[in-house]
Amino acid sequence: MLAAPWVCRSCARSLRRSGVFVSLQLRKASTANPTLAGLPPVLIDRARKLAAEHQQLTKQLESDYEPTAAKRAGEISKVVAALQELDKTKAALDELNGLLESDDAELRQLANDDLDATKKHLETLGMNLSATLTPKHPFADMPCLIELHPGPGGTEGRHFADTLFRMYQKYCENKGYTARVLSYQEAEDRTPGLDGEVPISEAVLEVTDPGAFAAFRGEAGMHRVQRIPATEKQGRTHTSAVAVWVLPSFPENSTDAENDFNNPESDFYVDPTEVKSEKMRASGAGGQHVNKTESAIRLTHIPTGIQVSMQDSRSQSQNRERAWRLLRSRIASLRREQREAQAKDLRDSVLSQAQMSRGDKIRTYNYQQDRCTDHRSGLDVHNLPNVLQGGEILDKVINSVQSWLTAMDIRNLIAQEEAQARAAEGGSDKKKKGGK
Amino acid sequence: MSRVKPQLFWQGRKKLGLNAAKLLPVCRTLESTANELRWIKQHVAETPSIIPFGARVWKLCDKRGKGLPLAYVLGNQPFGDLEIKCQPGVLIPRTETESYTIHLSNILRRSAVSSSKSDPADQQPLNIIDLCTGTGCIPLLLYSQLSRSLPFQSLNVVGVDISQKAINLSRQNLHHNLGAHRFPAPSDKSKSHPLQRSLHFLKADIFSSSAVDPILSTPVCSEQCAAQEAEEQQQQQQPTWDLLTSNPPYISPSGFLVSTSRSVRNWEPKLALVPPVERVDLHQKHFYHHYYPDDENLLPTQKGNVEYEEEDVFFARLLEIARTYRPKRVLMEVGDMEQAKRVVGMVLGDGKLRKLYFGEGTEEEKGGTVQIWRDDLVGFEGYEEIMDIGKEKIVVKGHPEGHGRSVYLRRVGVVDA
Ligand SMILES: C[S@@+](CC[C@H](N)C(=O)[O-])C[C@H]1O[C@@H](n2cnc3c(N)ncnc32)[C@H](O)[C@@H]1O
Repeated sequence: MLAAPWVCRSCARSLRRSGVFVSLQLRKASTANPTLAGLPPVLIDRARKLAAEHQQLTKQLESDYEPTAAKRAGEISKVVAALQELDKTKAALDELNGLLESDDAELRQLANDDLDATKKHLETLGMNLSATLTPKHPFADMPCLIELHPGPGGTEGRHFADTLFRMYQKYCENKGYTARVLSYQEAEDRTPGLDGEVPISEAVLEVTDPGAFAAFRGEAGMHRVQRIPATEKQGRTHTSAVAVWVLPSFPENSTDAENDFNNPESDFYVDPTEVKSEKMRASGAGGQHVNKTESAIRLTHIPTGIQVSMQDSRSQSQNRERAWRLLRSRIASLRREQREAQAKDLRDSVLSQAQMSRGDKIRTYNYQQDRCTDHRSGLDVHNLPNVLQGGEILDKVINSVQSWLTAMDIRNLIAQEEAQARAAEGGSDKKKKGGK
Repeated sequence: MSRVKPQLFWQGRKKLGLNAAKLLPVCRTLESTANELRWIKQHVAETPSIIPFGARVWKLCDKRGKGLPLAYVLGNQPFGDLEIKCQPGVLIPRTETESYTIHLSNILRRSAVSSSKSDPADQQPLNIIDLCTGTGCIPLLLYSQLSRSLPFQSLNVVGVDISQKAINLSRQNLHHNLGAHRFPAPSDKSKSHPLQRSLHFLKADIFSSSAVDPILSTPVCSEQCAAQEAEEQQQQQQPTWDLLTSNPPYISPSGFLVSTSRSVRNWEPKLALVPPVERVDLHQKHFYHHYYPDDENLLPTQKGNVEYEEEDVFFARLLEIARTYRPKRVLMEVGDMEQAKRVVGMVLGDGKLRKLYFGEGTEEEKGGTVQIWRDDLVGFEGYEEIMDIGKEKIVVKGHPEGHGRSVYLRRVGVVDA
């Protein structure tokens, strides 16, 4: 089943650049259905089904208005429009092809002139259609939290975590996003690293703009660094890693948030009876008796074992509020992952191998070679300082991942549709047999 | 208090530097030392001065190392989203106070929103009084939270304290947070203005009726709503305070020596913490007379249901005020669960208060609310436990591991959304 929201046009454009479509076409060549604009038949089928549904809904809405039907019609109208446009252009192309057979040389010439542009246009429309069909991530419109955790193995990872943290901070600044530091934990060991790096044990950056989740979700995974650490005496290159998590979060003070926090159906709902709260080293009677400055808060979600702690602020209530935000975001993210894992079972196992899990390395920053490689999009860029300063080269890398993600989403969608179609076919076969 | 291990000292010096070595004896752990050092550095970085950074950090660490509470060293303490200025002589706002104040403001906001939804024309003014206000942290945070989310309701907030130092500081805090645009300014007195918002800090001894009665009997902003209120009061006998809050001195003289931390004992004002003996004596007579009019000479331990200790004297007075002025909601901070139970006992043991806040008849008919709130309420509002006090079942809210921190009363007929 398709979720309603759709991928934007710019993603469709980048999708074309990423070239995933070519391979899709090849894979689909054997299917019986006629192809349209090189699109896989399942997608066209899907679009036609939605168009039929739209027609029916429109008819139904003429006689009596019903909000849910209207909403649904609105949701799929984009697909219908894209499909109509595509059909029109396809018809035009067929006509041109017909004209090419014409005896009239002038006419043939005219048709020939138009042919390339029309083919190009058809291709674009094909992208648009598939983009409108791609389900948007349910958290796409939300702000997000970017969490950095140095991998095991020494100060080097903790140093690089600081660099990544600053990279994202500056990137947000450059892109005009609003970022605020929720937590920045210096590690106990204070050996300085390269370029004034401070070893950190954990940091959380909140990007409060709506849609930040969609912009950053591709950053989640292991980021690998290869360089000669500041502490290295023999000049050997080390490889370390920093885990980046990207979690959806709610805009502050939103009524939606309050509703969602209290709604057991919501991904963000956390049953407080399942949460253990520790004020670190809570001692004595409290209140007027003590004026302690320990404001740290630790929350443990017992069913999942997820634990968050906050101690950045002098205000305990602020730490508590941040801890709850983080806990809710982590739990929502986990729930979403679990659902995705279920959906994955439906799909082709070949495809799901391409899915990245938290443990896979997604990107390498190599200082000696002045190079940054994203292992998913395959993009390889130089000018590492610009990347680490959150400059336009990093933007390029992040964009390449966005394209890759969109392509993956579409492949997954198609695989899912195929699996469903197969399941349906299998079902009707059985019925027939039973009927005999 | 035990000495800090020498090993911790050199670890701290090595990892965090010389400044940290100064902080360690008061902070006691590396973690806490690192935090305080960070806050001190942040503070210094944010306040411009011609004196070099390092020298100022050193100076503040030195002060802190001598035991002066951090809030006095830095001159402020965060409270909700406000910054409350702190000075020796006025009690530092506590995180427990902050927590229930946030919870209270949520209750008031939700109730106001839901009542204005059911009847948009019914825009009641919201009147709040805080007795024993100290830095003014409670009324300032309530004002801040409510004036932002309820722009169309008139809001009148008053803070009262006996200490001139506290009143001066609370006024300073109003201007400090106004200057930082943390909340909208109180409206001026021009009558044409439809939205009235006021926040006043007044000096008065709450035990002195002549000083405090005039404040308590006019919880009004504009003359316009004064007239309306007076009428209402005549017609329906309604109280005009929507909320009375107080965090009064509640520590016994012996508790002061035993259960307070050294930094509290040495640096914070005793006036804010321990009810003075003269007052206790004076008021006790009055109090016993009230509960046991027939037997003035009995000692507290010999009484039947109503337990009473000398450190409870402010609560007796606050409840006396509640009897007279009948605020819709009362919130009193207490020292522990035992004190909370005693305060609840005083409410239940007084016929008039019982009728006002607990109700009569069957469970359904009662309709009032007498509750105890624990620390750690925010996020754990759903936690409830029933406690037997006297013959009654009292709801205790908040995380079960939290200390008993406050007593909440809500009048029969008043609803919280
Ligand atoms: C525990 S402090 C509370 C301060 C502030 N409300 C807070 O929560 O941080 C108690 C305050 O009560 C004030 N106080 C003591 N006796 C008083 C009295 N008789 N009348 C009014 N205020 C009094 C003290 O000056 C002190 O500021």
